[in-house]
Amino acid sequence: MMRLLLLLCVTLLVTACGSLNPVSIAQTPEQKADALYATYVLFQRKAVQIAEQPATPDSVVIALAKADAAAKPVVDAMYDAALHVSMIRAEIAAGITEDEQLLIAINGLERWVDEAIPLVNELIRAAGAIDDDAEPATVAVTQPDWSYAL
Amino acid sequence: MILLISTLLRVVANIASRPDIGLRTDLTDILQLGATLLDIGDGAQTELQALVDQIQTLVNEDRTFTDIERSALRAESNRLSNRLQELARERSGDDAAS
Repeated sequence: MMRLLLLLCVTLLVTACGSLNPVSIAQTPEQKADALYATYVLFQRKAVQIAEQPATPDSVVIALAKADAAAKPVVDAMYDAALHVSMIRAEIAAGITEDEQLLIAINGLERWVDEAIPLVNELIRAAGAIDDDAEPATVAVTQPDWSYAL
Repeated sequence: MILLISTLLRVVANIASRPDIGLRTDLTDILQLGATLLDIGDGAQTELQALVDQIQTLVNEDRTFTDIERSALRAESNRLSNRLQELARERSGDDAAS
């Protein structure tokens, strides 16, 4: 019965968040990176809150830390790529860089966003895996559609 | 609704923890944890909605986060990541999670 109760709690938690997807609203690659980074930090915050509960099983705390350790370097690299794109946009506005550099930087950023999304989702899943038998949680972040107009 | 269920769980946990009821401590802990998870979920939903609104504003104004906003996020992320690793080490008794 207790497992059922925890599963109910987690299902309600994840269902509540499942329909909200900041990344899908963003339009440009930098906005998508900003949205994904902020979503990642939000769920890091929740992961710490869960991990700080004495009743949270050790296995869940360790799984949360491992999911974060896997995501952190990639999400940080995406952050750096977003800064790089913003810097090149400023240089183009100042007339000191070619448009071609921007396309290269944007392609790099898109690859980092694509790579970061499943890792952020893994952290979200770990936060929802309080019951070992629970179904994988519905993810809050979906793969972006890169068919935006540059 | 989440808040209501969370409150109900806490009430049940408080009643169950009374000595005359005699429910096992670990079961009342689980009830408390369930209530806490619902509170965390409720908070996550609110914060996620705020983030959606924030990103919508960026789109409407055709801009990104400022350098200051990005730096603040990065600093918070670093702090939270360190805290998670610290908690995992406390639970595992070694450095396995790092």
